[in-house]
Amino acid sequence: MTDTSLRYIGALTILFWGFQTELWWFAAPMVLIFEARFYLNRRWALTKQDFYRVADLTSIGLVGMVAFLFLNRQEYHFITTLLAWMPILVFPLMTVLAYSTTPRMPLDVLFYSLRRQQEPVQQSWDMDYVFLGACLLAAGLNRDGSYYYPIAAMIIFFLLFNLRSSRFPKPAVLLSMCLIFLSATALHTGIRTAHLGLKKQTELWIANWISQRTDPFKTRTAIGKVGRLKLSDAIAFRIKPESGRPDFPSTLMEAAYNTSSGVGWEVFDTRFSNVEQVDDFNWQFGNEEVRSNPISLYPQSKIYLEFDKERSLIPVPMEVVEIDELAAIDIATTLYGSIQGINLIPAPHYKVRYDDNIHLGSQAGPMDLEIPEEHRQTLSSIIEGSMSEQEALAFVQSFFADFRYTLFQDNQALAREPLKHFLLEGRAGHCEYFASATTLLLRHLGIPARYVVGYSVQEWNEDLQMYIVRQRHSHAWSIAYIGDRWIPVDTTPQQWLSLEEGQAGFLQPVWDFFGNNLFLFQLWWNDQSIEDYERELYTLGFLLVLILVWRIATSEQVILEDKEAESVATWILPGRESPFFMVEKHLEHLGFTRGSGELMTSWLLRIERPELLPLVGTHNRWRFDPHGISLEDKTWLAEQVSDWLGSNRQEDPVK
Amino acid sequence: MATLRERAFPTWTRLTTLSRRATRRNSDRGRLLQTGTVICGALGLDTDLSFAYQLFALLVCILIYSRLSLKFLLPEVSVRRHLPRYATAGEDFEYYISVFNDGERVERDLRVIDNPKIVPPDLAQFQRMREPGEETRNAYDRWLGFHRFVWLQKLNTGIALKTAGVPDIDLKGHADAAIGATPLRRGLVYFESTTILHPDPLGLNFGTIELDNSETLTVLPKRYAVSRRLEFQGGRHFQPGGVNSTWSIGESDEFVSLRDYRDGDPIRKIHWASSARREKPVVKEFQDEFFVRQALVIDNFPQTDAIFEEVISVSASLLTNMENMDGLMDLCLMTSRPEVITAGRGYAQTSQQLEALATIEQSNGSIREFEELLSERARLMSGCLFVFGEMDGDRELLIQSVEARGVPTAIFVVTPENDTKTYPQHYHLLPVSDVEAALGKL
Repeated sequence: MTDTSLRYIGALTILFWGFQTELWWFAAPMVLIFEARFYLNRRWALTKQDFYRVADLTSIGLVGMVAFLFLNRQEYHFITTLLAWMPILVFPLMTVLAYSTTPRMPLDVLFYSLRRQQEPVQQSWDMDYVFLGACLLAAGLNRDGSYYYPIAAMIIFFLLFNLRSSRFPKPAVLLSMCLIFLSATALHTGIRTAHLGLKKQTELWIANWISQRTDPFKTRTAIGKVGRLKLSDAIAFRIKPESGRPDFPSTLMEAAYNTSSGVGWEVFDTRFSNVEQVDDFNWQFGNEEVRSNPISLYPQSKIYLEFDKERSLIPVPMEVVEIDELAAIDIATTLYGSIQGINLIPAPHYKVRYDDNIHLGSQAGPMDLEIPEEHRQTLSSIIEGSMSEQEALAFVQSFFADFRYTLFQDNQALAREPLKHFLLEGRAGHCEYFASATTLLLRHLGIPARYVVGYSVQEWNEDLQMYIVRQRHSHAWSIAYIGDRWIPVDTTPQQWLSLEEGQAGFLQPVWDFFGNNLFLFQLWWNDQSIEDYERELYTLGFLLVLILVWRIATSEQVILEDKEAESVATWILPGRESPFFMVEKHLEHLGFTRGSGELMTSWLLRIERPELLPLVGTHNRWRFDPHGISLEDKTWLAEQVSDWLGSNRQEDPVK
Repeated sequence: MATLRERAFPTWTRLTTLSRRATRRNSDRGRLLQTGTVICGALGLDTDLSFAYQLFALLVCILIYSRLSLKFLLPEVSVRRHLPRYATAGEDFEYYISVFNDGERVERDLRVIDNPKIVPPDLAQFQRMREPGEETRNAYDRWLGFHRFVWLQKLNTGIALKTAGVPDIDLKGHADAAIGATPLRRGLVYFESTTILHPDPLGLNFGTIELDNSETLTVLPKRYAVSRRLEFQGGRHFQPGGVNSTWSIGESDEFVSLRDYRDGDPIRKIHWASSARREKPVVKEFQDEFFVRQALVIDNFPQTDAIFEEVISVSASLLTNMENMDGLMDLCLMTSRPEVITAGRGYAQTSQQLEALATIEQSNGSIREFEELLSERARLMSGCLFVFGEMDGDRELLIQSVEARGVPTAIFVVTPENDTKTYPQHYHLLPVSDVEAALGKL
């Protein structure tokens, strides 16, 4: 019933898996349970229903594991962790099968759909091999160690060699295994090299092709693009003000740019400088005046945003005075105020404090007044001459007052000279048009200005008591340098948010509902630690073990007949420790062979050794008396035997 | 939809053939390894993630080696099949295939499988019949009907066979492989060829050698045990003396005398011992005698498939049950014309009647002609058993035509499920879903 070809090799495979995945605590008992079946002759007569139950339990375990990995997907790699744990998940099913009277796993146990089938399911799997395969695969998920391949190959070859066909001679099979090993070595080295080459090439392509808008040095706008811009309703992040009231700067900056390159914006100085860490995961900004006040005076908000890259731009209000609990080794800023996190670790949130003044970005420089040649004429046709800063600001605001906000552009003329078309003819566009045009117009009027991208923070959710920031809330605006400070200048018509809102998908409330609840659950989940539930878990585990022991003890059992053990048992004589056997052996050595079935007494008479007859009685009682014989009798027999042997040693064998 | 489905049938047949071949060519281990290769391949795409790509390379090399090695050490064998004379629908049986070693080395680790002729269903059959338990399938499966197609194809093919291992065959020797078979329906099953499967060294894949080996097996209808209490007593009847039938089973005291051979006397009436003594042919003379001659009338006029199959089974069961009664049994059925097959007393044997039942189809012949035949034969009958499917006026006329001549009758009706019709008291009603129990309780 038990396939003994798996003895030792199965245990080795499980150990290998445990070693590779560092799941020793599971591997060790698994090896014991797996191996013990070769020595234990007890089997449980389990029914289909029992198997179904264990399979269902395994499915629940699998679903639980998937859910766990999904919730902690930042900490664990989903597929690899799931596969690494797979042997543990399947093991209960394996154990039940190994210790049952069923040799193979019927498929209806594994596949729920087959259970409804009327005719009995014929197909079955040999789960041992499936399980060992899963162990081998899981062992390969750890990328440490160069011995994985030889050990895995050895295990597979050992299994296959045991099961080989008798059609082919053994040396041929061994030789072909060597060939397979060598060719597979070449193949996997080739695969690895090819993958590395391809990866390098692909990275180059991607770097060339995709330029993301959150590049700290360069941004591309959709200016000049004809057709409808479609922005996603997906929630990008959430902000919880500490005050619990909707009280937060209206914009979050991601990056600021100072050089216009036609339809895009770039930074002139691309250097990043590290910001000194005040405390663990804490950085502070602002001038002396800000620092002179206790930091706790400033309002604080929590931003729920997880970073999935090692380096990423951190959205913060431009008025930021402190960033706290940001799980990064370092942060760096550009001259223009973009903040980049370095070696970011996934964490659910970070905190910011802020006041009313912009602190990010260097003082204005000559580059902040640069206007590209192609726009000069257009700008000159709008206004010429100089005016005071306040007048200029007022002019810009009033100039854009009758512009419209639109996400749709259909005029082909726009594609050629988009900004000119926007300023002089179309007078409608989305935020990037307004921000670009405002920045250039301010510069034209002699005010240093920069182009800023980030998010508009507007949507307050009463249930969560948080701001919700969606992908489509991404925004662009200008900052102008007036009176030695940067001030935001946002000329995009205020109705842009409601217009965008109007375009939201009709299922948005549904997605929001699920998204927000999942978010709340994750918040709760992140607050939990297994230590809080230790007592409950131990109690539950103890109860389950008790139930298991009770079920194992009370269910129907079968004792396997071990033919090997049986033949040994019949071969061993009862009372074999009786010293009289030494006499028999000695006599046989002398040549007096006892015939098969010949009684001891008749043999002794035949070979004329009547002096031994008194000993035979005690010897037989030793062997066959159900009550056994006394210690005195045993000693007496031993003495008699040694006396007799002592006096007969010298006899020569019969010729 | 109908034509669309009909067009799908050849594709489905090809699909099932391909799947059958693939199943044959892979061992369980081979399938496991192939699945493992696919999984490792998928996981191994990112070689930074894991070592799965190394496992993938190893498994691919093993599979390629396994395929290539099937080209070597091909077995040189021939086969002969030993089929039993009859099999019974639904009853498992075993038959043997002798595999002869024609080659130069001992053949080891071969397997053998027989290939019955695959008969796909036609649209009419597909629309008429429902797979048992089809209602438990999901809506898509029910709509597509692929499972019904597969079931019908199996049913039409008529037999389910298992692969059998062949013991080692010595040089110039042979070995017998026992094939487990389950006939799925009555009628003829055609065997086309036999396939020899030879494994690769690692036992992952099998190479196939197909050997022509056509033969036909008659599968008799399913038969049930009939209650012992069913003792159908028709009286003895006058039968003209000296009919063939009296020779073998005739009662010994009916032997009258010996007389000289006259032209036209059947050879088997010659009493050889006396002829030898007298040196001229002498024949035995018998007294005219009386014995039982019963008729079994089968209703094979159009009716539902399931009910018709049960009618056949009930008839076969009754025939077998009456087999040892001393007398004649006339099996009356309708083909293109009314037919009678007589068994007992030196005529055909019951097995031949069963053979007729194995291949009987529903007939569109005239029920009037059949009635005439019954009226005509009624004078010979001691008793008459009717087995009906669906009852109607015409069928009742058949009963009357026999009963009017004073012949005792026993009437068995296989009734459909949820049948609301009322039947005369003396009819034996056998509900189609539970014929076996009903026959046992008669």
